[in-house]
Amino acid sequence: MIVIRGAEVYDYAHGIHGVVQDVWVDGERIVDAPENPAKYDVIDGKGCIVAPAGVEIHSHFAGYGLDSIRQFLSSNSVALDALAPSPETVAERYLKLGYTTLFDAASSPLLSLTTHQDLERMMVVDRGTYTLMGDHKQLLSALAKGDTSEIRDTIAWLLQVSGGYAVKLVNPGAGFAWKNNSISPGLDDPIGWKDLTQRKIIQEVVVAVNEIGLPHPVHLHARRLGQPGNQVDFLKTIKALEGQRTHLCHIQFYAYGTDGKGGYASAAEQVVKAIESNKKLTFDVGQIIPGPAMAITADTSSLDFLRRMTRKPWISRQLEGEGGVNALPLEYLPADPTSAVQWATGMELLLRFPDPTRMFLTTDHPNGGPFTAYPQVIEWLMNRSSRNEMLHSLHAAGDKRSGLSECQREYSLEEVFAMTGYGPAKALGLSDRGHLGVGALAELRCYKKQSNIKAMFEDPAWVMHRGQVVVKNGRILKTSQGRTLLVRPTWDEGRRKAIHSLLSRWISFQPEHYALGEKYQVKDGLEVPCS
Amino acid sequence: MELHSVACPFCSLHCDDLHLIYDGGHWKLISPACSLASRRFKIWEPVPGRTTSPLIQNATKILDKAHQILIVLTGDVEQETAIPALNLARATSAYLVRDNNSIDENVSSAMQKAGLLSATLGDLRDRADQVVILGDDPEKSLPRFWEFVGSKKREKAVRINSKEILENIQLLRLQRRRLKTTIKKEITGIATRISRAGSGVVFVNSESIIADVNELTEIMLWLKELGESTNWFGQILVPSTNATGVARALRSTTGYSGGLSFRRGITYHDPRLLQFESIIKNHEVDAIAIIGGVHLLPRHILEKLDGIKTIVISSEKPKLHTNAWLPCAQVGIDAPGTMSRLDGVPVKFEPLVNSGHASAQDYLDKLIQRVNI
Repeated sequence: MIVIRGAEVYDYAHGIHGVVQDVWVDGERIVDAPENPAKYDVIDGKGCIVAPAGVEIHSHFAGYGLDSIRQFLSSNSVALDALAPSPETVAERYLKLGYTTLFDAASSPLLSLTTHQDLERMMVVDRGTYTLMGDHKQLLSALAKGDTSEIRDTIAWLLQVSGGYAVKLVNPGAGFAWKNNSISPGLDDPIGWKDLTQRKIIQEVVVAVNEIGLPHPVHLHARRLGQPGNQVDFLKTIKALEGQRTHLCHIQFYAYGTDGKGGYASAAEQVVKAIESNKKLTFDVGQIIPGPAMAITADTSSLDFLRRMTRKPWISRQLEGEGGVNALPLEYLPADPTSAVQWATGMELLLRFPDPTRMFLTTDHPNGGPFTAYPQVIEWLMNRSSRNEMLHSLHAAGDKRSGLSECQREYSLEEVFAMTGYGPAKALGLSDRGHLGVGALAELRCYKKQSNIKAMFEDPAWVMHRGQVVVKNGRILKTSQGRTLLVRPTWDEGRRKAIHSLLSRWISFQPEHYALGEKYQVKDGLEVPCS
Repeated sequence: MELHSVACPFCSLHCDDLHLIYDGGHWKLISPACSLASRRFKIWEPVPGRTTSPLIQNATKILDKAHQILIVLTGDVEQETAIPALNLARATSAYLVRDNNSIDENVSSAMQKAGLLSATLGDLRDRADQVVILGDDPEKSLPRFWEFVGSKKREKAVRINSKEILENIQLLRLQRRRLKTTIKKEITGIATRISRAGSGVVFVNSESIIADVNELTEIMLWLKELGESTNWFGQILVPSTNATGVARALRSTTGYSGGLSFRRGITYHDPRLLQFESIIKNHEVDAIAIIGGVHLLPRHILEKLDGIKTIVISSEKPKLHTNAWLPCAQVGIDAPGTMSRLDGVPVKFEPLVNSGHASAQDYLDKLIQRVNI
């Protein structure tokens, strides 16, 4: 048994904001203070801040797409190390930032073995991945038939064979349409598969996932990513969700108006007004960081647009039976007006959205920049002068075409811990972490209090995972294996033959070997129950 | 013992529909009619059942005495071997290279420069009307290649396999006007067929094509322009069974797919200088550990290994004088492992029989434990 004594404790879930109190840990979990403890260790927390550990809800750090990035960056070792480090290094860097639960944002079923082999190499952390389904022919076929039980079974089957934790929809249907030479159909345009439209795909899958009771709702990447004026389309997508529980990712890339001349302008204010009241929606921001980045996405049509605009070569690998995996090098330049507006838009979204338990900090690593920049972003949020200094170091368009300079808000510590720990854990349906209630996993981070916010968040005094201190003063103390979080929703296995029969039309190998294969056991897998 | 739907480890297509019978220590392929798989399964026999300790001891001695070691990872080992091979290279301050550091990357780079997409085989089958092959017909090294791409496409496939045609195409693209009247009949025919296709795929058979990145890029641009369509794909056909997977495994750990030096504890990458051939020619090493099939290395360089102590970890007895051969189990028969199809789709192999023999990874792990660091 351990007691952490004398620290200022932050537990947003229980309304504890900087209160000096003991935190008791027994084994892996938080416990009530025992009446007469026989033997226990004391961790001195005087002068420190203790909060639940960070939970990463959207980052690309594993799988096939990373390999494309590495091929691009082989001549730039600095960018390579920042944007596509090895799985071992990813785990180490997140741990050293105080994060102990990580979700890889997208994994193609066809290539999910590669993702899981990367995840298995990550020490200590609990991790998982979202399964890409929006262009999967098996699912499109079920959706076109309109048989709700077949849709649910197909989703459950895809999650099972790919070892996924949640359903990821990336501009759904557009990858399929793009393959058939139709560039990015609108929300209500037919995608080319019977009468299916993107609206129908999103609505049916969102409902099916909520009916299945997956811990995390559909994780949606909307259409027209990164294009000027796209806020109109984004808000149409939000409306199409009809109040259903959904997570919308990296929304900074969808909050753009125009400057009247076709250039980018922030539409963060309009977007926040439209989404704020919809309490069943959660968001992550996808803040950009000036410097090199890599676009990595299954959204082929949007990246095709972007590579034509930037005139840069891309890597695009199209996958049988589903969409594609694409990569394009980017650089957000301080002197570039678009980069400046993008930076300001992300900041504005974070500052205007009032609820830190529904809007989360991400950089959509490596699309917006490396996740290691989180302490810097936190400083910008907590310190207005630091933020303004940054704003004025960028191209003037960042200030002129956004409302950032009007934002007076400075994040409090409890808000930072909510948007990086409690909020994401809740959105992911992980009720065992992100808070310090009795029975929660003892996943904690501790910082020495100091005025330099960035330095404080860059260097936790210690990080605890499942009741054990795994990082202390910047050093990793444990290198044990982490767990892979996954779901196992039930499905009608009598449907297997029909699924295999259909699948064999599109793939070039035996259906029983598809994805992880039916005999594959995810190493150190930990099932999170469906409700 | 009779087995169905078995994956084949013997070429980079990794067909997974094999029907096999195992009887009296021997394999017989019942279907499909693949000459390569049939022969390889037939000649397979478990590696000699020798005690591994003396073999490891001998190999450790060689590594300990060496001043500079080269570790060569060939493209027919399982992906899981890459990390222990890297660890051994780090532990012994060695060089680490692949058998074909540059070929596949040069081709990939050319495809990227030409703006060709890539796709997995099932997608190519469904979406590419015209097949163009740079190099020889891959049927010899990939016997069931046309089954994957579509057998009917073979008849109208365009094959460009002479240096002369390649050079002419390059000139044609660079100086179109001047050469217009001198286009050879053959090139005209090729151009006509390509320009009529709505979509297509360019396969580069890396075994037989001899061209540098710039030449390849020119050719691919020409092909793509003729096709006037964005639906043109590119795919390299690799000779070894897992070159794609080994490259990816190395990249996922170091960022690079080979050409690595760990001398004096510093990691250094130079894909141009740190290649098997140049390291041997420059007499930079006095010991080599080859992990995988020796047959994938250039014979004319293997003949220059006099005076260099050689360790080989492979499932087949190497046709090369070695100071230590550590015979290991074969992935997909008596060892587990992951290999990648030539289009990047990962294939997990489980052992079909339990021979109890050490895998390449087992040997490497033991060597790491024993070498003097």
